[in-house]
Amino acid sequence: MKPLILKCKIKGKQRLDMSWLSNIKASKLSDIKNILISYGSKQYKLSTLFDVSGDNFEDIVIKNSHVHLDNIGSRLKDKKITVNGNVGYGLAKGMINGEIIVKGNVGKNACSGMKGGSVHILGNADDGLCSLPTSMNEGLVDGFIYVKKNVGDNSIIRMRRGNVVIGGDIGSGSCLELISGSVVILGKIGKNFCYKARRGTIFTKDKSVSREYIKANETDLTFFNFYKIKINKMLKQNLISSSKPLRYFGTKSERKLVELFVI
Amino acid sequence: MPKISDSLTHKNVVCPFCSLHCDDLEINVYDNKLSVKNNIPKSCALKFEQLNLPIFREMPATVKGKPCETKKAYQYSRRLIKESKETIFLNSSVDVNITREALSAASKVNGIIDHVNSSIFLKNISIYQRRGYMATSLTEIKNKSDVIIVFSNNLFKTYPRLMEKYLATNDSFSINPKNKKIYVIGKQTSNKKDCDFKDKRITYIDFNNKNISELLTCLANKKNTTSISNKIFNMLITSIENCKYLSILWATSEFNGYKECDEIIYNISAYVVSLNKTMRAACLSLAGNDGDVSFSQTLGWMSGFPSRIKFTGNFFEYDKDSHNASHLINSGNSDLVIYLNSLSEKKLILNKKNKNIVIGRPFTKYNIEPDVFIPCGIPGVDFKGHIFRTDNVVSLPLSSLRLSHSKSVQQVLREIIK
Amino acid sequence: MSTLCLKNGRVFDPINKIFNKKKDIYIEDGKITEVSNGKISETIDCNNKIVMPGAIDLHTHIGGGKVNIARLMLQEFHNNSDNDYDLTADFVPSTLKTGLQYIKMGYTSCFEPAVLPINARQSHAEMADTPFIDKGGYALLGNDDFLLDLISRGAHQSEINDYVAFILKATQCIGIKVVNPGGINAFKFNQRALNVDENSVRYKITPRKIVRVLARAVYELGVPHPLHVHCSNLGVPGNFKSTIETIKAAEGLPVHITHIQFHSYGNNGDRNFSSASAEITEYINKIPNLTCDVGQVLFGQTATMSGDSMKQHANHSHAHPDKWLCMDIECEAGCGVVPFKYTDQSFVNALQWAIGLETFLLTEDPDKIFLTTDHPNGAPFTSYPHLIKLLMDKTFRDNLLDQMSVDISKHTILKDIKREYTLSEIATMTRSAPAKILGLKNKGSLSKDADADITVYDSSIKDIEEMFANPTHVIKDGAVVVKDGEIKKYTWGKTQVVKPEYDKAIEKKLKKYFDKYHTIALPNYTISNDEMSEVIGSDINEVKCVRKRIS
Repeated sequence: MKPLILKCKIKGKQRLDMSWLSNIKASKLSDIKNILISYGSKQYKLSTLFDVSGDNFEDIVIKNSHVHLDNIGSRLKDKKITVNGNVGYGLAKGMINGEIIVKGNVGKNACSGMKGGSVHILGNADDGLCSLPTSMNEGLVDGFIYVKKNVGDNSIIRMRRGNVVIGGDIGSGSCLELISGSVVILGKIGKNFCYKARRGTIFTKDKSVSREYIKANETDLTFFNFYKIKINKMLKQNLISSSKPLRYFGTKSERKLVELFVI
Repeated sequence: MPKISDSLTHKNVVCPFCSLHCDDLEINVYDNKLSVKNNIPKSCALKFEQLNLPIFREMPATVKGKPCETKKAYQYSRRLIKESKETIFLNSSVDVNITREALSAASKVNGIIDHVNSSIFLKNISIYQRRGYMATSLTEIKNKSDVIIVFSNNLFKTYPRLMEKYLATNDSFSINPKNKKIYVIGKQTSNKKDCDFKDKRITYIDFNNKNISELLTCLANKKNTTSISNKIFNMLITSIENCKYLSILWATSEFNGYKECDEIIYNISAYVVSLNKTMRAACLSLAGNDGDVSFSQTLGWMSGFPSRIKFTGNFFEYDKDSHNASHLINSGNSDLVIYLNSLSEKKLILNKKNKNIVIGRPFTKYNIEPDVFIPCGIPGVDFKGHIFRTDNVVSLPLSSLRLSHSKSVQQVLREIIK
Repeated sequence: MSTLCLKNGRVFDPINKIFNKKKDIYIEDGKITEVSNGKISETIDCNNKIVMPGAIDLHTHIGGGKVNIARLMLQEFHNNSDNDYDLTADFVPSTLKTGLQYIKMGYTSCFEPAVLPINARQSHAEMADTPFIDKGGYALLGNDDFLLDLISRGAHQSEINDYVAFILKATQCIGIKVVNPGGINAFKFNQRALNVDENSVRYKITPRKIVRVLARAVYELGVPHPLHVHCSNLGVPGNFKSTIETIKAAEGLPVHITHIQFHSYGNNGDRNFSSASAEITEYINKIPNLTCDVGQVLFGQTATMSGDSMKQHANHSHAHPDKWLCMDIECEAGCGVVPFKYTDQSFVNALQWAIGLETFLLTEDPDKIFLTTDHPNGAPFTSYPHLIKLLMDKTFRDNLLDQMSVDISKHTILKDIKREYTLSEIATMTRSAPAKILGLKNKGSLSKDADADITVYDSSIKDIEEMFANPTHVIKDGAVVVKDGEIKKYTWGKTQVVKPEYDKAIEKKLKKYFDKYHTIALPNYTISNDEMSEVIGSDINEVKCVRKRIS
């Protein structure tokens, strides 16, 4: 069985809403080719916008993707989607389960309101990663997100559960009102980090976040090792290698119950 | 139908030009010329009287900057719409009926519909989409509120008659109006410059409104760490403690430039909600002057969403990012933008990258010549209409005062989109 | 002249005492005729089909400020993934979806129960954008400072009658509703509860007085629909007493008690929450001139919206999802929107479900009780077919009761009630009875010259819920608008209004009040007939009033 390959041949500058991708129910390739999608002010058959081939409709590969493709994998329930190239706004918006790999950069407000599944982004992510979805109060409900490079401003707002790993820098105003879950940041951290955070766990290499640190004690170490193994396992690589982390030392009222480790 | 030569005085005219929509205007129409009879601020009266200038009355349609017959402009617009791959209907000042028509037009050509102030009013709506909210309205404030706090840097410029007609009034049903206390908090340079209204009940407090959150925390804890002097701070505290009904007013548009904008409006709302455990308090966020409320309400009941809708064949979808008109225009995603500007005098910022059609009031200002300009009548002056006041619940009828030379926005839209 | 004929259907027409009788119906010019004069241009074969007048919903929140607030507040429930004609949630549908869903269920007239006078223009604009159905609204009074001031100063009843008549004319409404009489106003002065015989702090008058005065005004003006009362103490355990007191306050004048389910709670038992439906229904059965609608609760996510800002503010901690809005409006009333999820895991919610059904089943006369869910407060109106099945099928409701996550069998007498509603009773409670109580002579009936609003159901469908959800034909004003679930034609209904006469002297008094205290002028407060048709976009149909006097 070969994955379903969608090779983008769009040349216009209009944005294309890709949320239909999550709902493909067809059993024949010809049915898929005839799916009607709206692009700009008109509707087109899928085959006029993409070259379509393959027979495993649960495994989708998008080739030649570019920044005008919005809402890839929104409300995705079970499929695997691999994207070669950049994508536009709203990647994995409200995703429920499944797997998404993007081999490029992603646009604004990716993974907002995600409820489960995993997303790997091998490029940069623009502002608003895990931001609040429309009229809702929690940015990331659950799931695993890995961004290899940098992330923009105002990311990870009111995260409820889940794990986010960022290989590069993160912009200002991040981790606002963190409720729970874990965040790993290997690069630099912008201004106003963790403002009004309530709970949660943060691993960082950037010492500038706080003024004072102490060596982690044994309880902390157990906790730390637990997360370290969990995250390395999810990433299938030894991203966190430190064995002697520093722990943030501060009063409870100052940063409440956030656990901050410098690795 | 009145004749042009009749002299007619319309009473209780609703002013369509700012979101307070004061309805006590007395306007005389003679020879199709308007003159405001009662004593209102000059800037308000001017908005009506400047419409008498010949340039406003005989404005021709233009195609590529050259005056031409209206028919030709319609024809050219129809061609542009037919050729367009994606059309945006950008409402920059509208009433209820124009919004209804714009929505129906957008559904015919599968366009996107958005408002210039979307990003601001979406923030206001997001308060009650995410938390609790205690709101109030202007008559309630006039009659029941004995302590009023207004966060504003240029109150008198944006809402010229707010203070005189709604806040610092001499008649109140349930309280003694003499005991009212009004605090205007913000940068006072502009407030003092534009203010020709003096009242002992008003206290101006110089404050950087970026720090409102800090001020509210201090008020809650009754400990002053702000730049406000202790004397005034204590005065604020005692007023709030002893008041029967506290109202807090602000205009989100003023905070829009701040990074702390969301935080500020959430915190004001949360402060008011917490006060309501033991006493009565409510907030009122003042809307923009471009028919924002009418637009979001109308779209709300017709589609369930306040703004940023795209029609795709049989149905529509909402997306606050993908259908954000200003993003789309700046990144050249759309090739045609239709501006609907029936009220506002503000300069329209058009983009060269796409074709522009402006259906607007005569002498609409813009930075570059649009491909097509079609003049239209103003609801409330030339046509009847229906518009919402800033407090979201009061909607007022707009009347037609004079015989119009041009068509209404609805008629033009029906003409160019068939 | 073209004639449409419905042939051989089993007709239910309670007004003419026709129940389950084979009969042909002829329609000409949007009206029903007895025998056709012209040629029959179209015949619909109604063999094996049930023919009823179009249904009437007399209490459903379909337009107005608070509905719109809920639409915008609960965007996350507007489903983005289904490719349907409209994506809004069932409990806060857009105006278009409201019209479509109603007509597809065979409902042809709907009435918005909470039109704030100041907000009437918006309510009518929303209803004007609702296709197919005829509509109307009840104006909210009883918490406005002008009226309370009149009453507290001991104004003569005739003056109050004039004011009520003026409001009906100015707001283009068909009836008057009072919500938590005096309570919303008292909340603005920081009172958190107001019992039927408790004085409000500001005006020193009791809810009893307000109900009495308004019921009398509505009666004397000859408005067909009696005063529509939302009692004090909404949702408070033990509130059945204040409901009975409110009924007594009318002193025998006709009143309509709305969503009575929310007002039939006792405070017995170890959880201080119990059913008082027996006490309430005993009263309903006993007293003439009293009608009520139920406001049934069904499980699922919904949004509660009410003018009762006092009680909605008190309940905001139950909001699910956690967000809410309360508002004080223009010295007239208030509004409160609190999203809510009824679950069968909650003892209170499960018992609310049972109390509603008990009220339906214990009320003997189907002319006195109406089928509502107080859309969307108890459940969205789209669940009416499910509710009808609950009433018509004892085993179905017993099974649901058994399957419930919490055991409420000891707290409800539902299992002991053997009654099953018949089709005739359903036809009465959804057609003829609401038409009668609203004074709509041309609706809810298949007599000669009645409006041709007709619903045809397929009686070969065994499942009663499915049958009521999918009528085969819906005819509105003589045109077939729905055929086999598909829309055939778009039509726009009219707004039903009453305009009782009054002494114009009250307008001078009001003008003074408006000029001094209000923020808009009186002429801009009133909606003229021209404005209704030209600007708002809905034609009106006037229902006649006949003045009466209390000796």
